[in-house]
Amino acid sequence: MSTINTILIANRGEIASRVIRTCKKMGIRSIAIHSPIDENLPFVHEADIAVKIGDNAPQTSYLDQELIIKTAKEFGADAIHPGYGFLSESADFAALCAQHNLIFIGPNVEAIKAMGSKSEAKILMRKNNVPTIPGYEGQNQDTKHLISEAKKIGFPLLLKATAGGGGKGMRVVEKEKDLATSIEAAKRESLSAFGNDELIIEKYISSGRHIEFQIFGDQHGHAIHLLERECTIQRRHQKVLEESPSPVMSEKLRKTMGEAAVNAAKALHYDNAGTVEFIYDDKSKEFFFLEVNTRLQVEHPVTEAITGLDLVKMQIESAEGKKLNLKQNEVNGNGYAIEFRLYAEDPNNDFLPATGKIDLFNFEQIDGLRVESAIKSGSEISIYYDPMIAKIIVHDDTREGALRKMGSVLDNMICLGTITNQEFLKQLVRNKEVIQGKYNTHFLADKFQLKNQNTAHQKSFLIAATLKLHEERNRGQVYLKQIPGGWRNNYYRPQQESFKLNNEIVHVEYRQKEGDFEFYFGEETIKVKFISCENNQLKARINNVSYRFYIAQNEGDIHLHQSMLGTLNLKKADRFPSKEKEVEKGSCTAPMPSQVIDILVKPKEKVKEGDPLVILSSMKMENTIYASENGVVEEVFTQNGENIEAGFTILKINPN
Amino acid sequence: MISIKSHINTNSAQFKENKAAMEKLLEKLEGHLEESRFEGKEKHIDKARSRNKMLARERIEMVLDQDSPFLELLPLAGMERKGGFGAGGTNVSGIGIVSGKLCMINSNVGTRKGGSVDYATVFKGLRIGDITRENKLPTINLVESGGANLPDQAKIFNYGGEAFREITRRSAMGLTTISVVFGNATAGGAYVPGMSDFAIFQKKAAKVFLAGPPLVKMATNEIANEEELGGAEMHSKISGVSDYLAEDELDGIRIARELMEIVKTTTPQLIPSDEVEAPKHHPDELLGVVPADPKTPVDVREVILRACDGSRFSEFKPEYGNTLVCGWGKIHGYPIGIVANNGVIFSESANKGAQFIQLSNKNDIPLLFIQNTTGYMVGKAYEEGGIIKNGAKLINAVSNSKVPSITLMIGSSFGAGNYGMNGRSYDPNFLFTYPNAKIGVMGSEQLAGVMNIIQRASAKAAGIPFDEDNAKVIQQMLINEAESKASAWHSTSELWDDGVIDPRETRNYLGFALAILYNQKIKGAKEYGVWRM
Repeated sequence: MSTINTILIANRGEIASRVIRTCKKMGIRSIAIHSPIDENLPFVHEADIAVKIGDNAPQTSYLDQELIIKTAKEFGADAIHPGYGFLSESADFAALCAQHNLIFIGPNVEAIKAMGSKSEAKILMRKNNVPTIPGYEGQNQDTKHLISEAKKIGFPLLLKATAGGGGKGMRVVEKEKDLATSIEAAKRESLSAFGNDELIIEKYISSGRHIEFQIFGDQHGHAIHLLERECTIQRRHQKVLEESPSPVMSEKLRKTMGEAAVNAAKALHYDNAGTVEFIYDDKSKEFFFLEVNTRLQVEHPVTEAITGLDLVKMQIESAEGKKLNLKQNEVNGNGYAIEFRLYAEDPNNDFLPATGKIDLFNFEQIDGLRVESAIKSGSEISIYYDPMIAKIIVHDDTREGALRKMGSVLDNMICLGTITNQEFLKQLVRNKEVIQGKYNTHFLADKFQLKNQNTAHQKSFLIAATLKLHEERNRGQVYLKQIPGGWRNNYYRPQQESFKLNNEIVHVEYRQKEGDFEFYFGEETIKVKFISCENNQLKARINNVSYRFYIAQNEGDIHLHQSMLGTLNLKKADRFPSKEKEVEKGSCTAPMPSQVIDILVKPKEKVKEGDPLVILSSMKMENTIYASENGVVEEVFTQNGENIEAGFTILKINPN
Repeated sequence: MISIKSHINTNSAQFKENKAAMEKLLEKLEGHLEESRFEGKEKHIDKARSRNKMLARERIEMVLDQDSPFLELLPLAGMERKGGFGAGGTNVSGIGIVSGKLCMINSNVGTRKGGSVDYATVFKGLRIGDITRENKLPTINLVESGGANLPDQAKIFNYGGEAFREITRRSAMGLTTISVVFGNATAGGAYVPGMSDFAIFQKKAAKVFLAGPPLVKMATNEIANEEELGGAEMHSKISGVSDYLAEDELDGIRIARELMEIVKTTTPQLIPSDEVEAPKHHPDELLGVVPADPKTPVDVREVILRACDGSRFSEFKPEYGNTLVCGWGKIHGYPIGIVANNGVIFSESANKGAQFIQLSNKNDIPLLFIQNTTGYMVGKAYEEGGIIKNGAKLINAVSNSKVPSITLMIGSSFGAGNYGMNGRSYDPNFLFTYPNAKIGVMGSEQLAGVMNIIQRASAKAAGIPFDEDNAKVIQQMLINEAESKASAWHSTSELWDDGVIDPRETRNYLGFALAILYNQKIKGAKEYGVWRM
């Protein structure tokens, strides 16, 4: 038994804030570490002290084990909380902590090691009669060998980073011809994310539900589960919605699966918090072991909401060597909890991560709502880390109530400045199948279609944006302030404002008459009363309906939010557009700010349409750029490892 | 400063009658303004569109800052002139904000008669030049003009030169002219960009030469095409007549706007606070306040209280010379001294006005003259009372006043009253007219009556019998003739004013004009002519 007085949090964002909160509650000093770009994030200012370390690339900061240990020692920490991701499941790091007399707040090294390798985990589970999916988890990681093993299993199959989690380094391979590139990519992603490039291959269960059990053990052999969470709804193999209880859970099934989870924990002599993941086949009612995550999960607040426990506190106490006094029969779920993850990403573009400044982040605290946010208004979402903005957790007596509340929270949450999945989440929470709990892991890809915004709503947003710009000009005006904007003594035509909406130019025509406005959309005239514009709020009455809009602007970008109408992102179109630079034929450009991982072609090399040209990485997601036509590579303008901006011309192909 | 009270009942028959009559006139005004917005025949407009050209007024909309108000000047110039191009001629002119600065903008209507210049357009240009100089404004010319309208050339040739002279004189005063050439600017017209401080020529569109291919062939037998003689690229790369080569129309306008950011201009001497009190009575009521028939009297304070901020007006000498109302108020936050007729001008009124003008000059406050007078009082007693010398004092004060001024005609403007009240020949910075206003030596009926008396007297002297029937016909003809010549339409056609205005917009016109007046240092007069005592 030891007492922890000072914890260094080897993580960032919301989880760092989360750990700091419990530290404060327990009277423990907290030390944050942060990379240079994170210096203004809330967690940096919440910790007792924050130490800037390394560089923005995670390898040089949040993943630099020596540096973290050194910092912990220098500032007198006696324990390290790794959060999730980064070093949370690194047995090496846990061992290194022990070497330096630092308590690693997590399970014992052996458990991490055993589970850190998905292959070993699977073998161990199979030995302990926990049902597992057929697959390859061998030591021979030679690509050729992996290909031959993969062929034995058959398609579709799943490549997973042995050390992985969170979907990184995970790929579904549908066809044999994609196998080699996918293996290479999965290895690279895995190496970059976890410092280890070993893979396992599994048969891909295409119609499953993802159900996991929170487990918790102490150092004295006691282990229990803290009920299940269902995380079936995923995009790009990353969870979007997590809930508990699972809509398909029966008492009987919970008992069976829970026992399997506890057995798994016991087989590992597991201590601290962990999660046993299963895939549950809705049709056959079978479940298979997937993996054990030897860390605190992103979605742990769902469990906290229904159990009333503080998992971070329990983690700290367990790491101190305290006994877990909670018995399995004392664990009871209360009500329903759901977590949605708000991401900076574009649901209309395959959830491609987005970067940029969150100009405005705001929500109203209501009963049963818990928001764990990584950012505050003005924070930057950088290319270096996961683009999660916040976790929104709602608790209510019933699932329907929780979903309804989540809908309202999402309606009213203001998160403006970059593209987010907020609208997507809003549609998701009101989706019939989601409400009925009828889905599998392919739900988003196969069944869910993001609806376009109502055009009437668009008009209201265009009006609000125009009023905002008008008001700004008005404020900066020196002359003729008392004369209505656009006043003419020989009226010719309305004033015009132009926006770029979904890459199309939209013109808004309006005329100011004393305090009021008329907006013209084709034949339609909309009467508008401007009420006020203070800070980020604009109030206006549009055709007798008064609205409050939240507006954030960043250079030419205009982001609008209205609780009933949703969110719209616009760009102000230049009044005097500079001569459009024609996209050079054959040039291949970066779709978003990224790091160049691998340039696969050389100058003078012949390429065919569809050939992979270059692999980019942004926010840990790899993105391969393919040739759009046949030709010869003329010139390459970048090199491996370089950070490039969106629109950067990577290379030029001379078409033939 | 207290708000003055209205004594008009807006439900009275008189009010409703006035309003109905004024509304008819406003319909007429809108009709004429619509004529002024004519930018050429369909086929010429279609042709311009097919070449991606903007129309003259569209160019103005683009050169102006977004939401900038625009005060179009002399929109109806030439509207009644026989053989002319109609209301406004082929140039749209006015004042607005470009890159945050007050600026005169002239835009040739290239799609109307090829933008060629008729008699009214020339004189409109000259008046615009005066306004530009007096108010120290920079200018942007949006040029596309075929030059003089040849049938008019004899009438305009001599006057036309003044326009070019003025560009360079203004330049010498530090008032910049920027010309963007979108098409023809040939012969004399070439000197518009030629004299400008900055010339921007649009690629493959500007044609600027002293003589086109046919004339060159005639003169020197040289064969050259238009592009060689005066294309934008030649002028930008070889001759140096053009300073900037614009890719297209928008680019040309963009460059002009960019230059306006650099150009040094006068700056506001007063920036009124954001919160300006509206008049206690809505200016729209002016339609019923101002009688359509100038013979019907109206207390001019009813107009003042609907024009001034908060209806606040500090009246000077209210008990004295009460046919001339003088006092100070604010419009859109700008202080202004108001001299307004309340009927015939008596000696006392004239003296009071002269004193008030001096006081406003002492205090550097601009003046607004509101004209509604049949002139100075006539008759034995008034001649004996020195109405001439007292009237002369008012004219002396007005003539030598150095504060900027605006004149507003709301009814009658007859005889020397027009002069004493800062009429056209006294160079007000701006002069606006209500559509009901009448202007002339005297009222049409008086004029006809006077003629009748004179003819009767001469018939008697010659011993010829006076033909009563014939006289009646002649008298009616005279009345009609004088009436039409005295109308606001004739006045504005002849450029005696800077525009006929909708009374409901009075505050916006005056506020706009005041923003311009207050954009330079206001320094009142110290010296006057000899006062005849």
